[in-house]
Amino acid sequence: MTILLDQGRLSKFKGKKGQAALEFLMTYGWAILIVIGVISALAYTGILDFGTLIPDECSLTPGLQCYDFTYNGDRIGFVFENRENFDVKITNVAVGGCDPDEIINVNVPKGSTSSEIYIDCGVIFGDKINDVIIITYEIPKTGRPHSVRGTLRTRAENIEIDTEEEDAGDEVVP
Amino acid sequence: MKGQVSFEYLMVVGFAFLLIIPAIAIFFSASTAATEQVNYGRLEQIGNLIMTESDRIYYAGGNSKVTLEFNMPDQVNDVEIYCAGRDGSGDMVEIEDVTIDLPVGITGDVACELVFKTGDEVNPSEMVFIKDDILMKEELGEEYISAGLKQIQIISKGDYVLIQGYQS
Repeated sequence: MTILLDQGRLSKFKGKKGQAALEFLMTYGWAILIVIGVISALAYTGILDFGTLIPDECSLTPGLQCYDFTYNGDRIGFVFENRENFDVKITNVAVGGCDPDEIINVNVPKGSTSSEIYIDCGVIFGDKINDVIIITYEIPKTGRPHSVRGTLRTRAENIEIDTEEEDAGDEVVP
Repeated sequence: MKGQVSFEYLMVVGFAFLLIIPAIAIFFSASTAATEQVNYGRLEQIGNLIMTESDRIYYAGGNSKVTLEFNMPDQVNDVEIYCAGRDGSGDMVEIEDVTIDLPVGITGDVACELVFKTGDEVNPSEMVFIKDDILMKEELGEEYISAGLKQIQIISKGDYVLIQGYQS
């Protein structure tokens, strides 16, 4: 279908078209800006939290895995699972800028989970952690130290961590 | 009119970028973590395969051999084998030369570790596989540690198992 337009009327319409587009932008542009501003403000104040859309994650290797983990804002608690065919003794757990550098000595027999291991990070991370986790362990069978790297991504939960179990130097539940 | 077109263009493209850039960042972060996990899974398979075949070939007797083919993931920096045995005082000590028939001072209880080293210098990571009662030795050049399709041979030398590169 061909539409024939009068050249004179077209040039008049051209000017009006520009005006209409500008008016459209001025009206809806402001609206869009206001919506973006409101969403940003909600996200900034924490009312609208996009971080909750990303699930918590603690991933290591297939042999040594995070069985459970908690974070209350300054202390991280871990339970590790040993899926290797040999026993391991976890000697240190470091998360990003938080390296307690203390000997933990938690034995984790093959096929079992460790007792809860806590590392105290103060307020290094704030509300959320998205960092590298390094576990140093020893294999009693060969007496050799090793380390394994993984990722920890979690948010602080408003929980009380039982301080009676915080000393990670204790031996573990087989 | 031209100014308006440019302004509209900037608004549209700017808004698109506003959406795309965070999405790319999230995608990149998630895919990096996923790739690492996939590579760990592949290394687990390779390690278990080598250990299982080493066991089989050792007990098959001297000069038995098998060729394995696998796809090495790209994050491996080094592969090593470490053997240890219990000495007279009950401590586990390294067996430096497995070619010697039960090294001096070792009373038994030997075990060998196959270690895949990944990560960087700041954040190293190791995947370890252990085999009891068998002494092992590796002679793998750098070309067998790099990413890609590799062929290795596991040969029984009677007292120990040798793992070496193989080119067909």
